[in-house]
Amino acid sequence: MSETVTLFVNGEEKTVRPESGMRRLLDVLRDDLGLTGTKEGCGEGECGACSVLLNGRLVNSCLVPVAQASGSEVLTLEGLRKSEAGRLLAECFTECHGAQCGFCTPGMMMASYALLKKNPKPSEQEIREGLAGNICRCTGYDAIINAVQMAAEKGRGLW
Amino acid sequence: MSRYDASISTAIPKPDGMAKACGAALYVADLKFDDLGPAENSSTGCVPLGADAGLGSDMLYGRFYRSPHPRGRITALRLPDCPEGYRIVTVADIPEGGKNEIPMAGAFDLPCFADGEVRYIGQIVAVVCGPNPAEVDRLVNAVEMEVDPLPLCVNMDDGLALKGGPIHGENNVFCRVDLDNGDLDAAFSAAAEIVEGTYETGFQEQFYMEGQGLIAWPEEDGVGIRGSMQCPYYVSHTVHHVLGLQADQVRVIQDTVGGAFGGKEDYPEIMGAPMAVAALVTGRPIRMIMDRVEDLSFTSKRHPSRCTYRTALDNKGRILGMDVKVDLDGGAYTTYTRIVLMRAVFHCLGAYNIPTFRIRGRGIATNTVPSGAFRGFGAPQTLFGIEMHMEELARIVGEDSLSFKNRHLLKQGDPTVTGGMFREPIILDELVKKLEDMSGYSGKRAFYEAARKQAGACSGRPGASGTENAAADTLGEAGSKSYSASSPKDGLLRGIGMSYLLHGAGFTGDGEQTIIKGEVALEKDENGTVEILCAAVDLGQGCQSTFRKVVGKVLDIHPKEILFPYPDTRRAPDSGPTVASRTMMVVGFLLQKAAEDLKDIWKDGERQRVERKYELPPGIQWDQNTLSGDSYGTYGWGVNACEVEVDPVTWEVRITGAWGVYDVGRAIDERVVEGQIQGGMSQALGYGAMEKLEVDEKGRFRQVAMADYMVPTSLDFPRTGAATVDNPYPYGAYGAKGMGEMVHDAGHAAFAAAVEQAVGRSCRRIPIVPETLMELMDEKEAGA
Amino acid sequence: MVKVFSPKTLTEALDIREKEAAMPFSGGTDLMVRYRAKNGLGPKMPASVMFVNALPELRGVRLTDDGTVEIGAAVPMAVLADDPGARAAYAESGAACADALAAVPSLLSAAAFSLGAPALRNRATLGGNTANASPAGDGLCALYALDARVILTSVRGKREVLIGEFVSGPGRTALAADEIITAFRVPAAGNEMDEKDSSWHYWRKVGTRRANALTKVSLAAFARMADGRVGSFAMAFGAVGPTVVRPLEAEAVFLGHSAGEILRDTDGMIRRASGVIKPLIKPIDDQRSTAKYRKTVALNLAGEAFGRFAAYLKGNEEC
Repeated sequence: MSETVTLFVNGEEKTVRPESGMRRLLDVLRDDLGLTGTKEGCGEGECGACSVLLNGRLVNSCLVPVAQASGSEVLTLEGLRKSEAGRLLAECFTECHGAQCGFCTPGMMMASYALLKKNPKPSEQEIREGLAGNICRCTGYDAIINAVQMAAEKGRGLW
Repeated sequence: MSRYDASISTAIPKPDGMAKACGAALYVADLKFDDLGPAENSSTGCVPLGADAGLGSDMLYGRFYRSPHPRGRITALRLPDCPEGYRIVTVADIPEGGKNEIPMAGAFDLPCFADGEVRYIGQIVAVVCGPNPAEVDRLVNAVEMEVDPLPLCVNMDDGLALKGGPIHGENNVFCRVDLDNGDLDAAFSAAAEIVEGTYETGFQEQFYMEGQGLIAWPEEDGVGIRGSMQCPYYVSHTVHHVLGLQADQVRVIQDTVGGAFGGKEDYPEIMGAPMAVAALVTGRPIRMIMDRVEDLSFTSKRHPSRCTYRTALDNKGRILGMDVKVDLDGGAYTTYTRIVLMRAVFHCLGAYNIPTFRIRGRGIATNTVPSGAFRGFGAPQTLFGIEMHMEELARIVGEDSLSFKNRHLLKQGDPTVTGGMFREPIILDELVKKLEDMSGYSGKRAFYEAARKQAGACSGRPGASGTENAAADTLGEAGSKSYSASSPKDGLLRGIGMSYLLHGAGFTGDGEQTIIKGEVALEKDENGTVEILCAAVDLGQGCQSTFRKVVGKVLDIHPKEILFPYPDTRRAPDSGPTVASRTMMVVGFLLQKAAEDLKDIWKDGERQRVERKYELPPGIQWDQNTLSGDSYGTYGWGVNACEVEVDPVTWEVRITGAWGVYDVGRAIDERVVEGQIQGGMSQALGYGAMEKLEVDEKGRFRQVAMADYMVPTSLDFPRTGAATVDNPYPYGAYGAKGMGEMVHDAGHAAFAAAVEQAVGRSCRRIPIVPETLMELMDEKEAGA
Repeated sequence: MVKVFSPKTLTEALDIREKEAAMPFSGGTDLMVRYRAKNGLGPKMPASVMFVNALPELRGVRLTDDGTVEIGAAVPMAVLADDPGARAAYAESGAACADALAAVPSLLSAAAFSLGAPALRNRATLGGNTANASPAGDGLCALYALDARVILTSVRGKREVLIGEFVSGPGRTALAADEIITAFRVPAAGNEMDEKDSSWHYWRKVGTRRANALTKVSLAAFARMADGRVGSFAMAFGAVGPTVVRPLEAEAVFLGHSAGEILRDTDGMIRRASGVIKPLIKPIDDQRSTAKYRKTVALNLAGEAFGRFAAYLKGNEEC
């Protein structure tokens, strides 16, 4: 089949024509729409590097067939970074050294945003739970937790 | 230009942080086939893209065809017919003048493409490339290969038994490293007690988040390679060797690296050489991005180890001598095993002054993926051995292990294991004091010890009721602090352990002065903008920050205004590989000196360039033939502690505290160093507690999916208490010593010591997963 | 190439299911992994696929008159797990009302919370977890302990099957070729303030790590008091056999007894129950764990659960 799929990516309507409706949302974002901020770390939903928000909820885009997202709103890091909240979060990650190699960082940013949106004043345990699906091999998570705490503190009212 | 007058240790925001946090940093998989150079990436220091740097709309997808057989002579290789535009590249395609061998640390046995024989499942046989990944996939699956199979060796015992005949040489021993000092027989004859223990560590996967990925492309007069790598010039050397080109005919560019930890030290050569052959044969750029399963299945891991320590003690509980055997599983080809073994052996006596010793080290061949580089490079294996052995000796002597270890610590002026000398001050006492302040180690240690002994006396079985009352009774002075409340009536078994470590900073032996001879350059333009040119690269560890800080400090320019592009071998000189904890100490020092030179000759409004080449610090001597002298210019030092609670219902171990205090010379950026300490601790604790990686009967790894190989999540470990104590080294940048590896050297030993205290048994093998702990508790003999 | 269907209503879906034998595909967290191909190629599905997780009929949660709660097969695990904000957002979307969501049994919530991590729980569903029929499925294990009934719908109509009868082996179920799992019926969380009719549960998952982990061995247990006696008592062991294991005879040891009776003979009853459980636990060795470990720990978990149950009864007595 070669039906079109319409997505609302970062607020813009995008129509793609995937070879199959089962094509992964991750591949559509990266290859068809050029949104390479979303990374592939494992392709099995275990690492969170490909995290995006689908209709406001955090998902692993490697596990979402694009046809299943038809008509949905997709927020990627390219969209998040344009917002005040995204900018602040990125600054906190930079300040706290929450990004070392940076490969998990896009997913961490999305998971942190999803967490703060639902829980603007998370405890450390809630932050750990919120980021539990995002693997980082560099930091041991301490600096990332610091970044989220700083963003929660500085970004009151933003989420 | 803004001034830069902050202390060198004061943290700055990472210069590459915003690009990474905004998803703008481009990794090799992000480069578009027809990309002509977005300005966006310049902020990350990445080389501007362009058709001349390997990217074009004619780029092909590449995949390896890998041996499905573990061992045997190849009797048939049947390649499917390729459609127009597709190509399968094998050993037959290596151009005239080239060589089918990957040179690696003086070894040449690993072929670029399998030829005649295969030695492990997954060995590279061919590159399949073409424009459509689905068709490439079909072709890979259509290749057929047959072998005359031989019995295989899946572990060191098989290897030593020469199962199926030798894989390598006559005896399956890739290399030996032997060291002797003093009259060991006399020491053992004089011994009041002799203690022996064998300590084992498993494979460990680096688990960089970005899988291996490269692009190879033909250039007018040679070939280019770019992508995710630690050592651009290693890739360059190997590729020109395989292709029979001159060094300047191979261009290598590093892109943003999504983590490496040693895993991108050797593999980009192993992967890049066959890709370069394919790029030359097809005349097209080829990109290969490994998916996680391929990466986990076939890239180099940390060497498994088995160390046996036999120690002579006198009647005062002093160590008279040690007889040590160090065996490493090198896998199917030599690759780095010889130099990993050297580091393993040179660290096998740990931070202790052992007067008399005999050390026999071997690297052993098996039919598994060649073992390779991983943060620590042999030291985490033998430091586990010596630390667990010291714990065992202390128990036998009847002394607390910290006190026992302290009696044997190295001091300034003591000889090294290779007959060199510890020249600089050793400040382990200050490190321990700080660790005590942060963790309350000794108080907890005494408290948990008393609790366990009482519980054992009450029930004969740990974990039974009575633990808490016993603990309360014996609380006394030691336990009167706040943690008296930390032992509620929950049946959990608690312990705390510590470990000492040292880490030889920089290359082992004469690597720096005779092989690498690192160079750097600084260029200044008419506007006074300074650019760093060197091939030591940021893998996430932070030299995008720290190099800029060093140069900026000398020149009084704010680090963010200094340029530091990711290296392209056309411009950046060979400053050596990004390995061996040498980056800040060796390359950073060269940059500091170069900046001082530039400052001396600085003329406003002129383009200027300065270069600096490595010089051996005075007094250092090394004989590579006898392996004697100063195997390292200097050492980093550290002390770790770990606190645990063990649940006897499931034998799960929860880590409740982790601390690391280090002498890194001087921290060039406190937050960068803290990040290294915390990340290193997480990897070390993963190594000790979770990261099980086994091989099956065919020599294949059994944990090859992200769901199966367990790296720590945000819920697994607590924060790491991190600290440093200054002890500047005169030949490192602003006093910095190597530190990137030692943070992974001994956290697992502290963890195992904590578990030993909690359960009252000797833990001689990591990882300590619940299954192994349960079995350990079922064993009849009790260690304590 | 496989066909991909996105029906808008259950009627449409049942029609497609009958005519095309398309595989119901909910959150995809199992199927996308099972059929994944090399990177960039998308999954290689063995059959046509029909997305069911947007069907309104599969997304509801409602209380029934008989004290059960009916949970739609496509309700995300995050909602069941009560992840921060998930239930509020779900109620706001109109898929289910807050009262019904509050009636989701806490055992099921606990099991759902132990599954994966937030992003997975946002996609994974009870229907998918059940159709996957892995003996290590966390949601499935809780459903066994709750004596859940699976509601299956086809063009022929509706039927309800007990969860233990629905799952026939690893990856095998009684789902007919034209059926879709549409909902589950479980006991509604009761009024916990009334100790005479209160319920109790135990959930412990021993995973490969503390988050995003697959289950090595697990135990779900659920009891409900009725007029001061144990009205129901169920245990379900995960990952110790080809399907989730229910030790019915062990459960019977406690059934019908008053708290006082159990507390007078706790050790004896636990011994009898444990003796029954032991031969039923027949796990295997795999790369994740060992048979020996699974067996030992399953029995230890049972011991811990019995201990907690006794403590609960004691607490009730003292109230």
